[in-house]
Amino acid sequence: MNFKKKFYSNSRIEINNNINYYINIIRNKSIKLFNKKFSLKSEKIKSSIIDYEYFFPVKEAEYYDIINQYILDKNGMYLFFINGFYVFKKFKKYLLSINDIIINNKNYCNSNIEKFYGKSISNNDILNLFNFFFSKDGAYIFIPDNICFKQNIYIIYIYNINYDYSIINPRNLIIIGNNSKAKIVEIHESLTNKICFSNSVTEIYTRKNSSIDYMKIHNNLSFFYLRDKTFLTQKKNSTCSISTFSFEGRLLINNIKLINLGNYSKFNVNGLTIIKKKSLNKLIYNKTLIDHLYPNCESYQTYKSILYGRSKVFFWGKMKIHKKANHINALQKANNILINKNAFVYSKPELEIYTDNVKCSHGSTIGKIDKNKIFYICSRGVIKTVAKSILIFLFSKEILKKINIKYLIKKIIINYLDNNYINLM
Amino acid sequence: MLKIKNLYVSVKQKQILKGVNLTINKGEIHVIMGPNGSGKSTLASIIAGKKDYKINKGNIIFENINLNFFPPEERAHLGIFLSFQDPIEIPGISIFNFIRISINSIRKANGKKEISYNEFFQKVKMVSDLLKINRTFLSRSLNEGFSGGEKKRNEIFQMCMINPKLSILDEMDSGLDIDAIRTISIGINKFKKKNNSILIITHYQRLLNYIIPDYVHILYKGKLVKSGNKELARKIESEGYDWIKNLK
Repeated sequence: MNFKKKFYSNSRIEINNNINYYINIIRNKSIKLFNKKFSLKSEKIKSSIIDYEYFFPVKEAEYYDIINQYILDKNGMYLFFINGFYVFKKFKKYLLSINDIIINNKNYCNSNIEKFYGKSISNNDILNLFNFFFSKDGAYIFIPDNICFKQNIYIIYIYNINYDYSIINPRNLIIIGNNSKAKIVEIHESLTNKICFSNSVTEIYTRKNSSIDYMKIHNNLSFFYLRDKTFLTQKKNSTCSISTFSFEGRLLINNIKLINLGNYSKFNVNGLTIIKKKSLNKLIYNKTLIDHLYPNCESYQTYKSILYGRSKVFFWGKMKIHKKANHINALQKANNILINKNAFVYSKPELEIYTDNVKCSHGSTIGKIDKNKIFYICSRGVIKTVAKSILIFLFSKEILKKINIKYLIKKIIINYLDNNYINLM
Repeated sequence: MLKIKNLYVSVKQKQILKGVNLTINKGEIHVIMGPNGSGKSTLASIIAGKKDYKINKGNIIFENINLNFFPPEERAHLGIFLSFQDPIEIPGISIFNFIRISINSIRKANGKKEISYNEFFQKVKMVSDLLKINRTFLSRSLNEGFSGGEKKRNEIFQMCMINPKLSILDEMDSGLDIDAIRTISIGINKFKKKNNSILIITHYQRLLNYIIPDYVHILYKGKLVKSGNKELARKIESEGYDWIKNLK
């Protein structure tokens, strides 16, 4: 069967089933664009990609047993997605999935979706277009003006897939109103060992004077290909921080794009990757693009990685400072520790500055654990392996400190670092 | 307690120690002096077990155990302590937590129980009063942004907490003001009991006014050229090392 025909027929059915006319318009557009762009040069690759039988998961029975394991924070609000479909329907006041809104047809939500859905995404990327017309569900979080949301919001994607070569397209839309505040954690986890591809796109919009703390955790994805793209638009006086924690995955692409649309805004990106000995041949890409269009803003990036085995990590950090964007304070830092001989790191900072009056700095280090430090700790009676694990823990402490949720820090330390050092935090 | 027999040590094919013989008995204080580059710090770190140095010949024997192939942590378990000349900065861990980890691991290796919080706090209180160290100093992270004097004081504090059998003080007095030397040496004198022996490496005679040594050795070009008592240190202070060169 021809790939194009197949996905045409699939997506047509999808479009006809949906009620929301705006999303239908976007889908129609993206199909046309996709048709133009999807042209591979080599016939061999084309045939091999097109003739393959891909699998798009369908909604199945809901698994409440699995869900209960993940509810660890009693005060938290949870949004569960199994194989990309929304499951839990307990809290409906502020949290709704995109499908929910379409079905309930609430007017204010519809107007919000028209305002924001897909507005910050450029149409040049094929995978983004792919997400546009295949995304069936995703989290929609709208926090109205003047609300400080105290509970933590958890968006949990659980992949329980029984077929190889399935493709999932989650899609999140998060809007934070004027003067309001929220803390959101997004977790991706797989329960089976099937080879899958998840193409997730997140859009975050923050209005004036708002603040958001967004965390992404990629966990137990040993046979997974995950592409996680985040678009963030900032308005005046807002503070945002995004932190990504990637621990396991065949291929993980963390892609963060910031569009700065307001004076006096602050932005933080933190990344921590720890790849353990057991997992061989892992690839992790961290890409960031920060666009400074307005003056008097600050942005800080810190990425750290600890690599065992044959893992490879790539880091591209790009910063653009446009004309008229004066008085900007920007900092970029990437530190890497290679523990095995076969581990590999590529890191590339890029700065494009078109004004004079800015303060910009970047740094990148790659190395082993310092021998002299090990000797110093050993000479006080600590065994060498313990000394190493203490130093690795201290290396990652700088980023772990920035998490505001205590039980998450504990979980990370117990699973990926040595649990003897919880007291040292 | 410690016996060094005919020790030859090299770094990257460069001979540094050429036949050192030294015996330290229980409760003795030894001082090693010598011009720059004569191998004093090498001798200190080879006893502590640094791996960059290679022993070509000779033995280091501590309480009838040959230490030549022991890793540094096992030497520390036996009771050897090296106070570094230039301690390394380890950001993120406080002095307090670091000493707790080190005391517990030494106790664990010797088959003892972990130290209780109560006992540990009392010990910290006693030692910090002895050395006149402010309690807030202990919650700072290890050697990060410390001044020269603070680093040295931290090393002596660790020594008093761990209570080793043999402690090697590598240029402990450099970078300290006169009052600090006095308080630290008073602390060392109080800490020193019949079982503890100390090996001091220094350039100046000033420290020896407070800590009275049993023996003074002079290390020159990788060999212990001359040994004597406190008078020898005084002679070097006034005359320098030229007369030793002429001895040969």
